[in-house]
Amino acid sequence: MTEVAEPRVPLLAVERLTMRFGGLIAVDDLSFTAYRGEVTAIIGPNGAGKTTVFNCLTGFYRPSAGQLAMHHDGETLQLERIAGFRIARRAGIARTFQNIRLFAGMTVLENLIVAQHNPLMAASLFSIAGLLGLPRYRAAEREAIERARHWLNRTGLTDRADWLAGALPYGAQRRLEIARALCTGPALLCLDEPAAGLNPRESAELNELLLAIRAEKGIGILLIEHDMSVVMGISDHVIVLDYGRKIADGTAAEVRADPEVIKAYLGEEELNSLPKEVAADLEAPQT
Amino acid sequence: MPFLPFSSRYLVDLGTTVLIYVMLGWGLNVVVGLAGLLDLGYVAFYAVGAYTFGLLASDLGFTFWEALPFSGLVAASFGVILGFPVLRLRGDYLAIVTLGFGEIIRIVLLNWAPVTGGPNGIGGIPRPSFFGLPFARSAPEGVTTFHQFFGVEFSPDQRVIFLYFVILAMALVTNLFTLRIRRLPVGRAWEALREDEIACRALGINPTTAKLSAFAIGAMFGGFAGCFFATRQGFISPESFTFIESATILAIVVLGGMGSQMGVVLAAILLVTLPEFGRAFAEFRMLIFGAAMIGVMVWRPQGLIAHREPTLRLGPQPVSTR
Repeated sequence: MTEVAEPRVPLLAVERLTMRFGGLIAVDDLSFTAYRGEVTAIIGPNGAGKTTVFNCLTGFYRPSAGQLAMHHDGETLQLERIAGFRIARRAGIARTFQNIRLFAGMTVLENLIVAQHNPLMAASLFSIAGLLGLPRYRAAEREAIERARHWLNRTGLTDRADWLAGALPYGAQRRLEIARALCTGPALLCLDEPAAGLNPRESAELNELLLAIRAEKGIGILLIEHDMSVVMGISDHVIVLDYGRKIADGTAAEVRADPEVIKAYLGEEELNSLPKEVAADLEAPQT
Repeated sequence: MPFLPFSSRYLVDLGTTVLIYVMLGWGLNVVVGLAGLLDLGYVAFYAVGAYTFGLLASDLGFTFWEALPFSGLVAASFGVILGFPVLRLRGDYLAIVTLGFGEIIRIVLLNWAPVTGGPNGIGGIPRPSFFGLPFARSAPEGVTTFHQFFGVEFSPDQRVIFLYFVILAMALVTNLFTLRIRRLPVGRAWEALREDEIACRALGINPTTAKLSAFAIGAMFGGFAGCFFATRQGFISPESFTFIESATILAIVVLGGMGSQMGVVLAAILLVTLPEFGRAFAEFRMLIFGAAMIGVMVWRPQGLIAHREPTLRLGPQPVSTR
């Protein structure tokens, strides 16, 4: 799936990440690496701790133990030591949410401009140049609009740029959330179930979009997904979680054949009671 | 609005009151309408602005124009002071704390008698001058008064009309400032914060600075309005800054349509003039007023003007050869 010629450049190294909530261990001693220009998928049954990993990465939770090293702009940043809201800018990590979190009362374009808050804020000299309407700020704003237009074109939302984000159909809202994350100019894009609620045609389009983004920007994509057509179709590397522990790590094909994974998804007894061929067939669409 | 201010003194006075509420409404609109932080103690900043001028005038002899920027600054710092402890609160909880803050300020003003004069308030606050020309029948030695300078007959209405234009100018500046800042990154961050704080953090917006700046700017306008109130009345006491004032200002913002600048104007005119027209009904006034408010909430729950103008639109495709 990947061109073997180029050496893999690690982007994010998760070392022995543990997250406890009281007595519950949501993520247990998890280590993995995501590489630049690769799609890394995290899969697992519901409640396996996938979203918790994302929340640790993006600063919403402070990990109980472990290290999250992000290689960005030639330096290595320990994410667990950076304040949550700074991670987007300093470490170049952008994310989407399982239950869509758009600025519903603002237009599609405004959503994409808000995502470029930090460069625009600097250009407006903390609002002073902006209040005076200096050309320096106007140029920055025009640039931000062009960047937004680029992602609108890529996600097919240009015609609806001035709609309220909340008025978009579901599939378009999912794409807008991805476009908004991309407007921050990330090095690593974290997508939490981007295909949830999409019909098969829409998820096929999503696959194309993600592959195109990877090809164009060379960024890493970290993906939580239940839709196996997405996971198997575009992932270079799949990590399987169950009860917070990593039970498999490898290419899509390797993971698919792993008995541990099949056990986690289907349960041991059911698996044994099924003929072998049926079990193998069931495994792919099961979510 | 009496744009022919020579109509009658009563109308000009009423217009001035309306404009004070318009300005307060616009100030609160930044906090409630844009940033979505429900503030039930906004009158505290109005009081802080008024007392800042009152104290600067009685202790240090400041004039209105000298004290105006200080009133705004002190009120803005109080906005930040209120903002810090309530950063983590939202909705109802935030409303209760801000309500308490408003009461704390009023009770401090009432009880800290050596400084604030307690329930007696502060009197003898100087009136504004017209570029150094006072509005007075006769001036002390060496000072020219407004009517002497322009060679017109003295009339007490001159000051009232001047006050009207001062608050009109202040309100217009407030409006221009708000319209402009709404189109800047800070303004959009406020609105984004109102829509979804978690998404804001994921996009690298610092919610702390966004909230504090909204509180500070809203409070600053409240402080300016308070300074004007003090110079207009010439006397201030804690009685003018009760919770009912906060409720009225919030009602203006909600009634007008959250975030809508014109809505605030319309609602301020309605809320200030309706009780005036109701004078004939005397004791039924509040009843009619309440019924009118319920009517509006039933038929226009979004406020009188609920339309939101986008801060920017996607322009036509630039000519490119790609």
